[in-house]
Amino acid sequence: MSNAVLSVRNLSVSLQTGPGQARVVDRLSFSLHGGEVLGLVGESGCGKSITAAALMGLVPPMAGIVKADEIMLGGKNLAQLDETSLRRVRGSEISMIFQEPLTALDPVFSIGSHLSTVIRRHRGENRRQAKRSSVEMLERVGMADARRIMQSYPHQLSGGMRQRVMIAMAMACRPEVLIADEPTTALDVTTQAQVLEQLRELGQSFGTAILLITHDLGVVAQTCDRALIMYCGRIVEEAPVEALFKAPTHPYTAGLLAAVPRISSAGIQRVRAIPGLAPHPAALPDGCHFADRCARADKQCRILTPEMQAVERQKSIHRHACHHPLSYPSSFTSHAD
Amino acid sequence: MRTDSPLLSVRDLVVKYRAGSERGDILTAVSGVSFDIDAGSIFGLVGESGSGKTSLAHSIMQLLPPAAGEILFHGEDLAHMNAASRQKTRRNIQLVFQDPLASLSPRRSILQSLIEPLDHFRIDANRQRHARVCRVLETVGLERDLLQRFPHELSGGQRQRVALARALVTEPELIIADEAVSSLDVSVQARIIELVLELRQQRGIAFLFIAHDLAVIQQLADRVGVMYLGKMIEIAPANRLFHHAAHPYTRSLLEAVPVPDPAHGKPVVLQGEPPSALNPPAGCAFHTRCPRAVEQCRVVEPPEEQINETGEKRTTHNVRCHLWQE
Repeated sequence: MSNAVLSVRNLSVSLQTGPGQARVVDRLSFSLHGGEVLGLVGESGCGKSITAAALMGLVPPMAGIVKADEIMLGGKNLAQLDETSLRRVRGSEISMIFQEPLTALDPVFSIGSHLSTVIRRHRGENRRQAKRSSVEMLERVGMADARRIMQSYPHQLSGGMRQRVMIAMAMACRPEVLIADEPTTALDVTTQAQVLEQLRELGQSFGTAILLITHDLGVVAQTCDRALIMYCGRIVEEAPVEALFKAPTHPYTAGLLAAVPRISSAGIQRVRAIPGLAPHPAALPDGCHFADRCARADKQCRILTPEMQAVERQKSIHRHACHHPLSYPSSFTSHAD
Repeated sequence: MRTDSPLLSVRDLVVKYRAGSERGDILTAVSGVSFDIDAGSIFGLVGESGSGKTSLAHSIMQLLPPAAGEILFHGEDLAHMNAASRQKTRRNIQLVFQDPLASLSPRRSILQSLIEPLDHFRIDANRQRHARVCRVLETVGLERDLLQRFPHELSGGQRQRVALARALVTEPELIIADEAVSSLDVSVQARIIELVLELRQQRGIAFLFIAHDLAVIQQLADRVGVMYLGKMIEIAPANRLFHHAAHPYTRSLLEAVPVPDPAHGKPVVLQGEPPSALNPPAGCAFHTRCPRAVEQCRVVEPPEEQINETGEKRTTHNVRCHLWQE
C-alpha cells in the first residue's frame, strides 16, 4: 500500500494563548493510503482535533497560524488553496464528522434538507434527484425508515441515529478522505459498535480512506489498520495496529496501553496510571516532551528532540521518536530483523 | 439503627416522571429495583443511556422522590426520617457527577467550593476548616496552591479530583459516582480508579459506581447490577458476572466493549436501540433486540430468579430472563 491519497508534510499549528504562542502541532508528517483506516490517537490537548481542523483548512486565521510544506490530496496541495477552492474540496473530496452531531446539525432544518443541500451543492443534482440520493444514503447507513427520517429534525433522533445522519452527509459525495473526530465517544457501547462497523464498511465500499481521531485504544484496535500516537503536538509512534498493541516501542504508547482497563476472563489486570501531567503547550520543555514522565529518560532526552526513525519489522514500517525505545519481545521479532 | 443491616438497601424502588407532550404521559425511569450495598463495598451499576441509572442515583440522594418502594440507609427509611437524621444521612451520602465543570461553580475558587459543604453541615469551627480542606486535597493527590484557583484553570483530571475531594470533605460512608471517570483520558482515569480503590481500602468508604464502561466496572466492583429500561435485569458478584453472565443483554454489553487487542475478533454487534421508556414493550423489555427471544418473551415478563446456590445474600446471582438455563 503505497498509494497515498492524503500526504502531509511538516504540518505545524501555533495558537495564540494567554502566556504566549503555543505550538500545538509540531511538524506532523504522515500519509493516508487508499481504503485504509488510520487512527490518530492521543489524550485531550495533544493536538489531534486541531490537526483535523488544520487539514480541513478550518483554523481561523485570527486564532492560529497553520504552516505546512504540503497537504496533498488528489494532486492538489490544500495548503496553497484559497478559501473559494477549499470550499469546493471540503464536503466532496475531504469530509469530516464530529463527536457531537447535535452541534453540527442545524436544529431548524430537517434531516432531508441537510442531506440534499450537500448533494445539490457538490453533485449538482436537482431537487428531486437530490432527494432520491438522500434517501439512498440514509439506507446505506442502516436507517431502515429513511423516508420518515428525511422529515425528522435533529432533536427527534437518538444520538446513534444522528451520528449515522452525519456519516451519510459526509459520505454522500464519496470523498477520497473522511476525517472522523471522536465519532463514537458520546455513544453507548452497543451503538458505538454499530456505528464503527457502518463506518468501516462504507469506507471500504466507497474506497474512502478514513482518519479516525480517538482517545480510545479499544476503538483503534478494532477499527484501524494503522495508528499514529500523538503526544504534545508530535507524533511519537506510528505502526500497524497489530505491532503497536503487541510491541509498542515508545514508552508513552506502552504507558497508555497499561492504563486501559480491559475485560479479562483471567482475573483482573490492574490499570497503571502514567505518573505526572502533560506539560502546558505554551511551556513545553526542550528535548522529548515526555521525558519528565518517562522512566527511561536520561540527560540526552531532556536536551535533544528525538526525530522520527523508521524500523522495518515483519515487512511493515514501524516508526518512533524516542532515544531509548522499548525493544521488541523476541517472540514477535522471530521472522523479522 | 440496626447493625446487621447493609449500609444501603434499595427495595422495589420506582421512580416516575411526568413527560412527553400529552398530559398524563408518565415515564417510568426506574421500575421495581432492589439491591444492597454493604459498608466498604463497591457496587457497579451499568446500562445504556436512558436505562435509569442516574434517576436511581438521584432518588437515593433524595433529589427525586420515589413513586413507590423504599430506600433504607443503615436500615432506616429515608422517607420517614425526621429532619435531623435526614440531614445526617445527606452528609453521609455524597454524589460525584460526570462533568465537574458543570458541578463546580465557575465563580468560586476551589477553596470556596470545598468549604461550602462544611458550612452547610456545620462541620468544624472556621479555623479548622482550612486544615481539613488541605488534608482532603492531599488525599486526592492535589497540591495546595490549587486552592486559590478557579475550575477553568484546572485540567479535566484535576477538576474531577476536586469534585471527589468535595464529596470526601464531609467524611461520607457512601459515595455515588455517576459516570465520574467517563469523560477522562485513560491515563487520568487510571489514577482515579486507583484513588477509589485506596479510599475504599483505607477509609472503608462504600461506592455506588455508575459507568457504561464495563472494563472500568471490572477494575472496581465487588458486585454488579445491569439495568435495561428501568429494570435490574441481572445482578451478581463481579467475578460471576464477568465470567458467567446469564442475561443475553449482559452478554451483548460485554461483547460490545472494544478490546484493546487487534487479535481479538470483531464484536458481535447488538442491533437496534433501546425502545422508548414512555412506551415499553410487553413481556421482557429486551425482547425487541434479543437474538434468542421466543413467543413467551414477548408476552410474559420474566420474574427475578436466583440462579446460583448460595445462602449468603451478598453472593446471590439473580437474573430476569426466561431462557437463562439454555
